[in-house]
Amino acid sequence: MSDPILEVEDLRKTFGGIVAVDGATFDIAEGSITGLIGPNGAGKTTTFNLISGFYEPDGGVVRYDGRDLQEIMRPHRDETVIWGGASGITAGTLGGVVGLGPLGLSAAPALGTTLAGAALGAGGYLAKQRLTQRRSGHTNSRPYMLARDGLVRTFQLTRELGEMTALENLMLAPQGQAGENLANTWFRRDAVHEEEATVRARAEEMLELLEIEHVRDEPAGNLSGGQRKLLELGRVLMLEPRLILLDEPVAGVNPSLTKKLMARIERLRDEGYTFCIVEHDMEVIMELSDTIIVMNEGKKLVEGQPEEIRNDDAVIEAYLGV
Amino acid sequence: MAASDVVISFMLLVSIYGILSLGLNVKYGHTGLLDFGHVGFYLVGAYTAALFVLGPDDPTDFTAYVVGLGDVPVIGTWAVAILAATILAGIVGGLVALPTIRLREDYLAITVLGVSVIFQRVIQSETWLANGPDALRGYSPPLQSLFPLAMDTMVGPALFGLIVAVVWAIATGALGRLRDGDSRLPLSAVYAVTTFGLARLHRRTDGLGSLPTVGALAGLVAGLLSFAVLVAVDPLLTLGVLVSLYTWFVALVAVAHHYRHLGLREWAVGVALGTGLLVSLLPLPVVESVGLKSALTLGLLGALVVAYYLAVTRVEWVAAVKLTVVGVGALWFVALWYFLLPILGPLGDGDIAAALNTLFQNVVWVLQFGGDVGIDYAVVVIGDLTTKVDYSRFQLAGFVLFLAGLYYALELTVKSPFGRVLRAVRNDETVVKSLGKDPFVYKVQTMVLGSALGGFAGALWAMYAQGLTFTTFAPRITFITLLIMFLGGVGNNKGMLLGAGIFWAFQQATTQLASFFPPAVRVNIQAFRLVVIGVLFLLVLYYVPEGLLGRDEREVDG
Repeated sequence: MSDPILEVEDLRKTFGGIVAVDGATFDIAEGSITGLIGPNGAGKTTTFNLISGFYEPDGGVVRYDGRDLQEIMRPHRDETVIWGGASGITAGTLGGVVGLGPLGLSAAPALGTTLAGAALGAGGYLAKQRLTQRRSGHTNSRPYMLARDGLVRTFQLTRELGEMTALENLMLAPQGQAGENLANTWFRRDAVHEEEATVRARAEEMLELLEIEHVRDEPAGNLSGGQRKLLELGRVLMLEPRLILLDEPVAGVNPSLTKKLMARIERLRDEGYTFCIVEHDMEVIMELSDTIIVMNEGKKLVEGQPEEIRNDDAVIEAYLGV
Repeated sequence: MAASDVVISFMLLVSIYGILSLGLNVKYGHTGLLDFGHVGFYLVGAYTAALFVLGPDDPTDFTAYVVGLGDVPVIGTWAVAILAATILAGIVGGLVALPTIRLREDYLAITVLGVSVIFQRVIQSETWLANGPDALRGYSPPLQSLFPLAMDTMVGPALFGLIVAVVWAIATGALGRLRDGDSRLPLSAVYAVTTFGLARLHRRTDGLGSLPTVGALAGLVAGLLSFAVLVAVDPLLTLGVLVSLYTWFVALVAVAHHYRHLGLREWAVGVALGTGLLVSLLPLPVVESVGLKSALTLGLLGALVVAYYLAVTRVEWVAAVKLTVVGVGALWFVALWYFLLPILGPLGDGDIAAALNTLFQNVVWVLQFGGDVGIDYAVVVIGDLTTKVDYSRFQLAGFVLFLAGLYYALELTVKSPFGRVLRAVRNDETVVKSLGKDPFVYKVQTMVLGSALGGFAGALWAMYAQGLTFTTFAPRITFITLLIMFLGGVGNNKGMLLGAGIFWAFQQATTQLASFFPPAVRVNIQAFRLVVIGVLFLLVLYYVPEGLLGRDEREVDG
């Protein structure tokens, strides 16, 4: 086993009176498949939402690739400069217009109101940023920053884009497509077309791999539950991620395809991808996982090899209920 | 006014509202941002454009506005004004978006509605800004003083060449799309001729060989040719006839192609519907008594609707084409109104020559006839014609050119990966986030783009209306735009053009109908049509929630 790609330390999240995650601590090793199991309400999905940045934690630290998630999700310096500058310019213009218009000032005092407006605008933005940072601790809920760094997730209840075809669902995923820039759609059409062809070829390959190429042009909303699961898996794979969080990936997928899917996940693992999987199908999770983490009541109960877990008394009591 | 002039002024409004609706469609149709304040950006565009072309204000004339740039060279021109209006509306759209865009759909709608009303009130109460509650006027549309065009100078032929270029480009572009659709006509041969041989560019695989490019180039050649011909000799009427006939030919081909799946009986039903509509309106000009003609018309209309309803519910093959036959009926009705009604009068008097003369005037729609100014022709059989190129046709050529360009640019955008992200945002923002894309950035860009289009439409409105009052920019405009969008098909750019066409056709038709009533009743009819529009909106939402054309989900072309 190599270094951990993800370190979770004392993670906490409460919803009103319910403590969903209560000090979970565990590591996920790079290039492994980690199973996350536990009874309903154990906090598995909440943990997923915290790790993928969709929820803001109430406490604890998650480190991805050695870096704090909050640090990855924090706005870049340039971003602050751009927004602060924009607010400054806007407020400055307003100040100038008000100075020249209703106040009826001449050029020099109007310049003063302009500057005052600009200072107010930029200062206001920075102060607001500072205040939000302080009020909410240091949390930033910007999960797309994590996805860009290769930490991606699927959803327990599939979230396919129902009005778009299966192919489009997949073609949406790849990062940094030139055609996602508005100006490029007008001025660099050849480059966009070329890239689009590549993306399309990859998406079609993915459809074939998941054996859903026959629904290529079907709106994703018309797909069956299992097909949607596959589509969602394909969509995150299109992102070329490093760590993939799968929330019940084989629920509703037929047994033979489940086998193929498992083989596929194992092969991807061997290629260096890391998986963390929540799954209720014990057979699947036992066979697939290198390590299994059992959660109960928001805490990690046990961690170990599948065989150890199978025979652990605490697990049997909490989960298998025997 | 000849029927063609009515159509021209109708088309001007259609192109303004087409652009306005395209803007709203970017926001709601493609991205799912319900913007009830779209009129606010229309207002920003209109007033910005006006302030760019107006001369400095004059307190002795009781006008006051913040700045009038009309006398400044270059900056005070319409080109700069339209550009500035577009950019400023886009910026304002972005600024409005920043704080509001995080709100959920209905809250966003309400907030932006409020913003648009604030804009309106600012114009009204800030008297220094844009003349306050008084109308802002005193500017004229570009080049208007040159009209009607004098053909003995270089300018006249050049401007007419411009009109020909636009008309020709659009007709040729349409023909290029249709040329393989019908094997009974030698369309490809015609296309080869009307593109002046440029059709062979289609063999190229790069951008030069695309349909729009070839259409535009063909238009350019046609424009240059007509310029040259007009300078050398003076065949204005011949040119007008040629260009007009070409457009009618393309229009016929387009209609035949669009309804190619219909059998004879479906056509018959459509024609019967159109004729029925005309017949049920006949009492209006014929019967004297107001009560009687209203009762007769309403009764006949009711009978027509009942007949249609029965046919749709009882007869299976009618039900299968229920909307299509209405389309055929509408076209047939318009054709009767355009070609037949104007010549009924002269025909009734037995004056065949006068009837043909009127018919000719309507067929040659590119030129305006009548009046004292113009070039006189004496044509065999149909008699004397006084013809000229009037300003509204030139303006329409410009507006249509803008509309076509913006439509094309938008199609590129929504059929690109960018448009795909927009649709994904509309479907589910969480997914977009989970795939490493920031929905906020896309939503702001959408608001900027859609609002900029609204501003563009506003600038065109300022040009068209030649005067602005704040009351024009009431939320009503937003809801008309929404109606157009839902009518044509949410998320379908072509639907915006259709929707705008239907809405303004309805407006024009009711105005014409109202003229058959005494003034007191006329006012009531004008008010009543708002009710009808409301009912129409409900019917559309209930029976065809996807709009007439439905959502355009064609794949991104690769």
